[in-house]
Amino acid sequence: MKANFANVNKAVTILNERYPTICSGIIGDSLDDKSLYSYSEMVLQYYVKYIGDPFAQNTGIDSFARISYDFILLQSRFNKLRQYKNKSAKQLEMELYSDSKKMEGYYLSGLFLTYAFWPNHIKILRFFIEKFLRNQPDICNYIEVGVGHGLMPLTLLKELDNSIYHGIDISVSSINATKKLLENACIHSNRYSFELIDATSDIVFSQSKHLFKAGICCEVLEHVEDPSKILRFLRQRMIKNSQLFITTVTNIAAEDHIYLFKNQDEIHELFNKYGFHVKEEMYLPLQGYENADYIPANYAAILI
Amino acid sequence: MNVEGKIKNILSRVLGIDANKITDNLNMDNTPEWDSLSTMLIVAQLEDDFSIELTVEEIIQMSSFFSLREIVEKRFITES
Repeated sequence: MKANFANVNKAVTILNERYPTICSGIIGDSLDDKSLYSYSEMVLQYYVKYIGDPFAQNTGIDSFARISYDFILLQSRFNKLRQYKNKSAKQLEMELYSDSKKMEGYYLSGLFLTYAFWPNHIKILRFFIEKFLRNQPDICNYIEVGVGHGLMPLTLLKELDNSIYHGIDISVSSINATKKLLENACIHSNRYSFELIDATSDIVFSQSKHLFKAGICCEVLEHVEDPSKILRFLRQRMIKNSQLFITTVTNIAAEDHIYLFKNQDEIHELFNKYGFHVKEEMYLPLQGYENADYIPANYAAILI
Repeated sequence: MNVEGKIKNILSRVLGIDANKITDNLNMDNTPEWDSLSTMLIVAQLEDDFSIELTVEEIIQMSSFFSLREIVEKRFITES
């Protein structure tokens, strides 16, 4: 591995020592696309600078490992049953999104670091920066549904000095964690704002007045009972012909995945229903499943 | 078939190695076929063959034949 990716090198060494099982699926010497290392290093540096020590016990790396092992367990069960655990959005809100101990414990920081270690997530981050952010207008106001761990707004606000961001999430923990992240990164508070609302709720529309020049919606559609409501919400809040960066998955299990997309066609169908068209997309099957009759894959697209 | 025999069969099927050659020394470090994808298959087979639901904590420990045996045998002691 290259000598100037100090954090990546250290992280991979520690992961190999502590959690050998998950190391075959993460960034490492075997990764073909070496340019991804720079993005991996960037995410780790963000963590070091704005969150804390990723190598300390029970945080950072350990949280990422927890997310990875959860995935191994749940995906092994999904591979047999071909369906997600039957949870409602209400249950998820109670069991996870409202549980600050879990959210601020391993969940948010673990997910943040998947963008440093999971090759597909790193590729999606690269796609986000190189193909989406760098092609947006210089002065642009963004709306994001699903603030999550805050990596996307952090990247956006650091990459584009004249951007303004408005984030929506159902979780207080997500919003608080992202606010803290942006404060620590010295992003001026007049560049960002947040709303604690459920974007699938019909009541939201009566309050919407702003029209945004670009949208972001990462890893949300599979977390709600009716993803069409998310797309409807974004369509209503975005200016016509503006671009939306969106990610989801097909056949990939997680503790909080509710809506199952079985293939790319089902995703496209949903986009078309709300007048979104694919400008550019990536479909990234997980290693080892390329010829399976169902494909666990990560998906990202720029829509207009 | 006992627990040890069943686990050897699972590892043999998933990793493509001769069950007779599986010893307590078999682990992820000396078995290149044993990766995260194989672990998924091993987990699925263990849960099916022993009618158990593994926990994340148990999967973290699963890095050798010896640890697999320990995890499953402990389950039967706990549940008896």
